[in-house]
Amino acid sequence: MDVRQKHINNIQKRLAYLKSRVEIAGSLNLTDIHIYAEDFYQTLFNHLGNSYKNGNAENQNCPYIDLIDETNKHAMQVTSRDDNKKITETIIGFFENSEHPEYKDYSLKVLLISKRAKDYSTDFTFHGKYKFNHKKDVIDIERLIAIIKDNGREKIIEISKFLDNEIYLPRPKTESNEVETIMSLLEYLSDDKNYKEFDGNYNCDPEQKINSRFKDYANDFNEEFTDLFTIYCNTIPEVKKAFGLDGVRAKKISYFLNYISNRYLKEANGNAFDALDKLTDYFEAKLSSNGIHADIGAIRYYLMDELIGCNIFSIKVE
Amino acid sequence: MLLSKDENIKTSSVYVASIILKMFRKTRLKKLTIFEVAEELKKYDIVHYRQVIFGLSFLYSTGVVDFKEPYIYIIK
Repeated sequence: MDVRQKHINNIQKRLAYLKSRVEIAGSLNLTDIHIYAEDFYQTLFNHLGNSYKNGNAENQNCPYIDLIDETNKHAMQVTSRDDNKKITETIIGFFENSEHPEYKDYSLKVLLISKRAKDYSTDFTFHGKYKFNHKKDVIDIERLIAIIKDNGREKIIEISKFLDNEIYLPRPKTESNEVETIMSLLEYLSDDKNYKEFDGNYNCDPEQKINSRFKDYANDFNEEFTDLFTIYCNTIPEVKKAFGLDGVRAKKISYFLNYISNRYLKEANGNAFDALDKLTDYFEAKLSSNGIHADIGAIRYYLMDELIGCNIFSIKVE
Repeated sequence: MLLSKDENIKTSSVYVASIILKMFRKTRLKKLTIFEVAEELKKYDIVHYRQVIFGLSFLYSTGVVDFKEPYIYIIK
């Protein structure tokens, strides 16, 4: 029940945010977002078991129609207008399309992406001539959420994750940037998706690693670490405490960091500094894709700290 | 391996388990509620649910305690 509620809340939050953005953009005559919205809702409805294609992209000459599902015989107009005139035009334009007489059998839907469906009194069927029931076929965001809610738990989770990737919510900043950066890094690193199974242990000898194995880079490393230490030394213990870092998460982080750092070290032909740069870029990109303005110095310091802690560039014990 | 080199010993499962056992010894009771345990752990700054679960799991896996909601029973 908790999982279902969590994901439904997420779906509500993200769709409501998108609806407001479309509404505000529309009032300013900024219509770019409407074009992206067509593709977005096409994919969303396809997650719900449809096979919509973009009517315009397919060049099917379908005026008044944005999405066509030939498999299930559905058509959809994605619009920010909720007036009778727009709906009437859509119905007549679609069912009277002389190039596609087969559309007469289709079920037509009108998706309102920024307004709420009205309690229409117009006879959209024109005395039974067209198949259109506005109570069912005009879908606003509230109704869309109800449709999603009617699905099983797995489907709801799938849609919630799809929305996570598609719609970034503005995030309130609650922590200083470096704390947020490292906190997000820890969250990313200990995520189950990143878990790398490893049967064994890594050699832990920071002295040997820095001053002997990577002796060519030891001076540069020490200098940079000393500079960063003065700025970030209190951040990591503070974040680890707030994060509740336990043994299981620590191991997950350790295995993942060793796996990814050794991959970059190999790609950089053993140049530890190049590999560390690439690793910094990798994590910055990951955090940015989650909508976080990462503090690069904090990432760098965290990685250097983990290098000393033998979670980066360590060799497996055979 | 009971401890990871990267975790704080004072929030590790073994340490949390030792506090719970001390609690049984101090109170001389055979059963404690999960709420009493959580309240006691708070005094040691152990507030994250995962730390509590790992501590209890450690005691359960070594056969020292058993559970019957909402009680934790000592069986040895």
